[in-house]
Amino acid sequence: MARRDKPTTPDGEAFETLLAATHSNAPWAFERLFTTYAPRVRAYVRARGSAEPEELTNDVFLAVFNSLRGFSGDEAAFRSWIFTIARNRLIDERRRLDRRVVTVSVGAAGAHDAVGGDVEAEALVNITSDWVADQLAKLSPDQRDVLLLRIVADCTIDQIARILGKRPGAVKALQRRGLAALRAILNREGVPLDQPADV
Amino acid sequence: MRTEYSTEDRLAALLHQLGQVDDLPGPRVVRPALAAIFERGIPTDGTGPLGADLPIPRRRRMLTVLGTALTTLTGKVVLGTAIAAAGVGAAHSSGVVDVPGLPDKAPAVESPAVDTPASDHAVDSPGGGDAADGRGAGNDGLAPGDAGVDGDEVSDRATSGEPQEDGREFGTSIAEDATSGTPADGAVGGTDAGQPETPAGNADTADEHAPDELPAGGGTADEHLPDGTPSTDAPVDRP
Repeated sequence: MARRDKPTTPDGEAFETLLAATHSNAPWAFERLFTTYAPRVRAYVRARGSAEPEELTNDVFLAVFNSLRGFSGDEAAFRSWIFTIARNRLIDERRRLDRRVVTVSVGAAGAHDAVGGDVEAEALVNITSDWVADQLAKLSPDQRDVLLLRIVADCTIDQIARILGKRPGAVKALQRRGLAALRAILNREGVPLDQPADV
Repeated sequence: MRTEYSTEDRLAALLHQLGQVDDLPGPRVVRPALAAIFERGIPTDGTGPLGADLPIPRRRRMLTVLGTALTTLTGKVVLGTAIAAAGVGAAHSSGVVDVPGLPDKAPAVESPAVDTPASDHAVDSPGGGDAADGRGAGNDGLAPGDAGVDGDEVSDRATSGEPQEDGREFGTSIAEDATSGTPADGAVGGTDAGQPETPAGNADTADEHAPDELPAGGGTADEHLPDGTPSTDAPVDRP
């Protein structure tokens, strides 16, 4: 599969300049970082089932900017760091929501059933395409996580391994199984496409 | 026109659509602190708004509270007192230091008294001393003609299993008497109702001969027992 161009992602030298500008506390540099990476962060947290993806994305970048002075590394490391924070914030939000759900479900037992129990799968409905969301919702959470970090966050296998705390071999296996599962789903359901794939 | 594509084409299209996040509008800035950074940069006075809108994780909040407690005088006093109290309590429990206010060691657990079932075999000699199973006092030291423990005269025939005048051993007569089903009221040595009066503590007769050798009388005797009364093999406590 051909690799997509990402004109909004700064390359090595541009990223170094941008990072230096943030160290000098230039507001435009912070906004540039936000507009560059925030769409992917929001797509990732939304696909992972965030209840408030806009707020969570804002929180992720507040945490990033708060610790940016101590960061050192290239653009790939910065992207990996952002999604590590995003994943941790996502876990925190899920724990918070789990506690809240328990409190609410005492009086309204049917409220949780309406969601279907799988918040992540339900949230995928709101992703770019309902069809894509339907297919991803059939994967296991780990497979979904790896594919989202690989495609949406554009992370490498090693970066995903660091983010998830797994070995690169395990990440490769999850990616291979996830793609195989998607292939099997598509093959079984035989979903026709009205437009050819642009890849 | 509807076109069928291969699985690989559909998979590639799915992944392509999944990666098209750059075409989406950027997320809104909903946190005032983030908007302030985009306007003025990160505040450098140390009281910046960065942490104001961020939800503090529970672990970090706990560590903050603990750190605050350790850095304040009150926290140090409380922590030191707790450690000292724990140390004194441990020393007291181990017996090194005797602290009046603290409870002593827990008393040793006494095993509850368990009634040991009496052996099926008698251990005391005929007429000798108190029966081991508590059936009553013996007639030791009493001469023939004296009143025994049951008020009857002590028979000179009840000393052992010696042959009686009619040539039968003492136990034989017991067996024959028992067949008549006559209960021996107040019999001290025997456990079976229906067994004739036997020497006190003559458990040999009671336990060894009665169950096995009483042909009909033993069974008869058990039949006369009220419900719930222990049968021949069970020990009977009598005062």
